[in-house]
Amino acid sequence: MIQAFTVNNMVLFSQQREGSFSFPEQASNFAVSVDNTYAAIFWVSLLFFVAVNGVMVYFVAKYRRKDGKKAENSPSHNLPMELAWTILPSLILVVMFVQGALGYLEMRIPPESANAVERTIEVKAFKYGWQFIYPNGDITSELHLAQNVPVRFKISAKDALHSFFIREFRIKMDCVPGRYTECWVTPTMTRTPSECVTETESGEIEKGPKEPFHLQCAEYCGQGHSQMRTEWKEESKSWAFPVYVHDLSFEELEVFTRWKTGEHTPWKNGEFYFNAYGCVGCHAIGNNAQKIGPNFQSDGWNIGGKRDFSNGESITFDSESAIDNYISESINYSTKLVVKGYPNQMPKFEFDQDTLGHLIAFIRSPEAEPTNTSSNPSDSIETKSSDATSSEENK
Amino acid sequence: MSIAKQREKLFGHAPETNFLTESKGWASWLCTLDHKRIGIMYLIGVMGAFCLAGIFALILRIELFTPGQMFLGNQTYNRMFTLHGAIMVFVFIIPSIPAALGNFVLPVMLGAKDVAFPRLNLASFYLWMGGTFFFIVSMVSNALDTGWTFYTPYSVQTSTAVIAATTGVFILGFSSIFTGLNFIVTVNTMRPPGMTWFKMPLMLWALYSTAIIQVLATPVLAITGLLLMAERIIGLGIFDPALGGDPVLFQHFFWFYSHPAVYIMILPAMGIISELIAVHAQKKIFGYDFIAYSSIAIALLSFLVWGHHMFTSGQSEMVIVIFSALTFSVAIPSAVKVFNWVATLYKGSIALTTPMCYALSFIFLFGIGGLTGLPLGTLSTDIHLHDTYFVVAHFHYVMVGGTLIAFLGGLFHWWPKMFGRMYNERGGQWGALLVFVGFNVTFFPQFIMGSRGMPRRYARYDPEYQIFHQLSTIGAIILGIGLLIAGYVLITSLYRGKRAPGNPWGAATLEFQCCSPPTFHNFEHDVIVNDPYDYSSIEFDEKVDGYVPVEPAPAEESAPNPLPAETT
Repeated sequence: MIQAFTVNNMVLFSQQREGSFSFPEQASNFAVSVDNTYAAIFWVSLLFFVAVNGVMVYFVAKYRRKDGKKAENSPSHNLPMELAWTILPSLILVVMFVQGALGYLEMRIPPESANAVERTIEVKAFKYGWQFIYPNGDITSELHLAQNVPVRFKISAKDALHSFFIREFRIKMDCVPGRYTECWVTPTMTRTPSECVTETESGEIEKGPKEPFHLQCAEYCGQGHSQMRTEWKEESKSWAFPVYVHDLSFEELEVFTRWKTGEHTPWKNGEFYFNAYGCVGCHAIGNNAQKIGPNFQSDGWNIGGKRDFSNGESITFDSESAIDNYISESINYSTKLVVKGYPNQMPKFEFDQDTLGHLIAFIRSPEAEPTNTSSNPSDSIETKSSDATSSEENK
Repeated sequence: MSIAKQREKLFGHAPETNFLTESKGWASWLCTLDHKRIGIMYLIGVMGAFCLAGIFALILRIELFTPGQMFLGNQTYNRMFTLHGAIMVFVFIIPSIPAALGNFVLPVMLGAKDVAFPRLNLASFYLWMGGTFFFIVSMVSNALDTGWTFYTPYSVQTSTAVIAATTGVFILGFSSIFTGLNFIVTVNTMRPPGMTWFKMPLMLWALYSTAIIQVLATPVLAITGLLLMAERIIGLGIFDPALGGDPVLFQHFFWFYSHPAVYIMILPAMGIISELIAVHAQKKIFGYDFIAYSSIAIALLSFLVWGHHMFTSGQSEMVIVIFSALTFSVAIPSAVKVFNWVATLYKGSIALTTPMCYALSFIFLFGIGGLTGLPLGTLSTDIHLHDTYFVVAHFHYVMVGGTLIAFLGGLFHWWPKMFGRMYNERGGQWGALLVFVGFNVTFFPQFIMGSRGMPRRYARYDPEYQIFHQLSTIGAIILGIGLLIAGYVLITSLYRGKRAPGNPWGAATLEFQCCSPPTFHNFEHDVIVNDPYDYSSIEFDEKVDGYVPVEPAPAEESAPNPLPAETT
């Protein structure tokens, strides 16, 4: 990735570019002005720094104590000089302040078109993932935007503080539980899923030549803080929380067309929700590596199965409905039943019965969709690849 | 008494006992009211805390050598960076210069026997011990994982030892207030005849300004801690939105203390640098008034800029723009001090002693730390840089490159005074050099990865940043070695160092008028108040291997000998 950056970073007034030694790619309407402001401050600072330290080194070399040589006399104050070096830097600072404040106000005040409801994307941060709710009600964990279309983000958090930071856009805004914050952006550079995920000739899914734009949580939120970021997941062969910008109109974005719950089986819908609501961030499937929460696997849900809770209580499943109710309660009242050995960190979700039913269908058999009434899991290798392709289609 | 007699008394031969040997046994230390012994106990304590938090830092840096997990799980990583930050800030940096060095130096610089309230001083030390005890409890029980900032609502939700840690912060806060109060009263009431405000050494101005902040700001932290505890224990809804509170309110409260606290850390460091530059260049400090006033200006302005920690928190635009403007105003007095220090070197007689090496690296490092504050105060660039490694690098350049370096410089400067032993100068210089190089290798790459978007407090990171993290880790190891050498040089001097003269550096401040180490009452005679930065009446005497006052032409002159009024 490093070689993708050119090293011509120190150009004072540059056009939009691929990224520099100091900065990531410039992919939004704010990026060029932010980087130029930074560059201007950098050069002014460097000038002062070199001047002050140059003079210091020169004095140290010149007036080094040799052979007990005493200090010479010179005035111990000089009002005009001191006033000069107080007032001149102040004037430079005023310019910096004004430049920064103007750039900032532009970031804070969305244009009319972005303010419209149909251009507002709701961002919900939770431990430990992101949800984007589109104007048509679609929910995903991927951010899809249209090139040159200003959008407004209406930001909130479910549990703790988080911060919505997309480095290529130079935007950042805290996600504060209990209140809404907002920011806006016009993406100016495209980045499509096909550039970031490729399929080899043998049909394997691989990381593409480019990376999506990076969404990262910038406010410490706990154990999974550093997993709330755009990252290639080798185990699922997909990007977690990618930010894509399409060369399409906003209404043509895939998120508006790609998933209709009525067209799929409950299990497929459940799988979709499991990814879209970010459950996948904390719960691994099967015997995969342990994440923050308990793993889910088909043979974990049997009548007679037992769960111990951190408050000392336990439950033994005595019927199919007991299992369904247990999963349902664990989701909608997440802090009530915490499995022993796991932290009490799951955010509260309030799903309607339909969504919950689909999620339960998936969670009870997460490795593969049950093919028939006998819960005999089908060939796992085959389903794995079909999972991967189906999640590809989702994108 | 004639100057000649005083000279013999001061610099000729050491008195039979000093404050270290004056009484013996544990009790004589633990119950002492002597500011010097309290200062030394503080010194041992804060150095212990520094080593602990420094080891945490090294472990963190080693873990960050690779993007994935090496040996620390997420939770352990979070706990470790929390304890690194919390211990460094609350247990080490805040008391380091005022309570450890300041306690030793301030009364002696005033020519006084002790601080105004010696018992309060001892109480302050025991409060420090108590607060540190609670920190250790919070460390070994269910180690804190909130970050040193205790941001709500996470600090209300987490199962870790928030109560113990906030209790620790609460108690440490009182320790800090006691020290501050003591210093304010001491400076106001115990200056010797002839020492007007503008004839005080600049270190005293700095400690005085610091003390004002300590007394005014720390109670807010204490209240915030109490409210947080009330929220956790009895569910009082103040900060947690689930209980009807407001998490941003916590940030306002917290930074209303913690921003001034940044100046509790840096102001005394600036005071030390003013002393070191002048003494080791044997040059009257340039622009004394501007430096003195800038200390007070910084102390007052520090209360008006807390909002710049919250530029992305969702505050109103108006508030943010005002805080940005106020933030820039703090840059000016800091810059003025740097210009003045450099100007002091002009036509000086500069000796590259270990303290001077630290002082010069301070100017370099604080320069970077201060200037990188500009893109953080500038709003449009801050939005991108906020909460990234750029900020981490910036405040480490100020707190470590500034405060720690000045603390070490001051320690090497006053070490002969404290223990009566000279250290190995060459060893000290090597330590200073390694600290300087290691520090830059550690933290400079963090600016670059920060502006490239690496968020702070990440246990795992994008492989793209690995090269910067690796450089940083290597630097941290060099820094650690440098600090070990510095520590070794100081410790061995206690056993092998040659005896220190009363005034090894040719300083004109009062603490170098008494012998090294000082006697129990510091001075055996009335002090002679001179201009603290006039080095013309001090000369090197080979017989004592130190500096002594020049014998004036008329042999008999009555002491004390205040300065003519026009000299400031």
